[in-house]
Amino acid sequence: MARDYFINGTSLVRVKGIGSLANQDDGDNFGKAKLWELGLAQDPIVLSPKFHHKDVFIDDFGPNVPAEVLWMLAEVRITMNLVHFDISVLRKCLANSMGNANAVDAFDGSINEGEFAGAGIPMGGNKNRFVAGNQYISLNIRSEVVNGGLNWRFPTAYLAESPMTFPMGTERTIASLNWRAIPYGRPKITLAEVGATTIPDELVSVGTVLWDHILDD
Amino acid sequence: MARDFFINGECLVSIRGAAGTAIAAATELGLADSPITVTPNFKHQDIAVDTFGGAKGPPPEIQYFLSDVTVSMNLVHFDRTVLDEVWRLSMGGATTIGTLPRAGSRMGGNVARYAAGWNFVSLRLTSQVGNKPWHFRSAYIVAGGGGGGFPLGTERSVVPIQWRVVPYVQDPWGAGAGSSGVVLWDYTAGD
Repeated sequence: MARDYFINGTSLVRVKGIGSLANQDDGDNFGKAKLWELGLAQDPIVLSPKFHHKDVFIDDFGPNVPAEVLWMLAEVRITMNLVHFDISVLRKCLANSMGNANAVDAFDGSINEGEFAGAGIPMGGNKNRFVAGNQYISLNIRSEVVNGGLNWRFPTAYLAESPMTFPMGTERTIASLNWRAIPYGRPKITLAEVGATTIPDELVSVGTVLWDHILDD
Repeated sequence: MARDFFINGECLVSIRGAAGTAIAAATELGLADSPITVTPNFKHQDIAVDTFGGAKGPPPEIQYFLSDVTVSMNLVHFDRTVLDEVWRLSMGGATTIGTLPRAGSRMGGNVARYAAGWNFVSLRLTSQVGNKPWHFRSAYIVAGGGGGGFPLGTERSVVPIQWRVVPYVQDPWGAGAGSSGVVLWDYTAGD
């Protein structure tokens, strides 16, 4: 691919998860993870990966310059200012991000996302994605390719720290959201790799996906 | 088409509003005392590259960020009632002319064109000689300046009207197409 201006084009934010984001429709999909449209942004959605490295010092190299650096994984911050959005989906995202799988149960959005889960509730709950007990949200940014625009998926994300700024008045509300994506996940370990007949139940970082470009369906 | 003088000819202004309004069908608004002016406002943005001097230098590439249109006219032979109805809609569609709706009322109302709650109007300008009639799909009268100051006296009133035409859509995502394919104006007759 040659060097060129990169123009991502228009992007639609979609989310998928369980808990408050579970499907509430009648039928076979009831209670399963569902992909929702969250909204469109007023201005560019900003992705900010944060890499973590750790210096290794040895005396021979002195106290200031590392002789080696260790890769210590990464996380991503995603900020967006939504102007055309589904408020009921946003409330579901807040509920999941607050660890409260029990905040919903009505498709009409009559959830109390402001109700706490217990302090210390693990967001992943030692469950795979889209399994009850895992509150993470799969954050999808769908771009319509104009000049090679990219889709982005952050499989395990949540609204973090100061998650939302929500002005309320006569003018249209712009919901400013602050997402954090971390590399939670269960690695795929083949039997051949471990030479065992059962798959060990360990959480390891190798192979864990922080982001990819394949959208959920 | 060969090079020639362009003569628009007589230009009748007609408009059409949403269902339930007094102008739900195509309705004559009036005639102007002088040429009606159509001014497209193109919005472009430079891409600055340091090798070309950055923000100080000329851009090696430019992006197009759509347009709106300003239409200016001085109405001299017009339907006073129809003008009131257009004013009412341009003021956010309160039930009575001169009455205010809620602050922040939406002009498009998240409905389809011509559906109840749509406060834009469709604006047409005929072209009796040039045969290039303009059709602006979503227009409203702007406030201030030439926005409909109405002179009152013994002489005939010439009412300056300034319109703004925007590319209204219900869903800006457009099934992934965004603004692509949204019509700002066309040259079709009828409505």
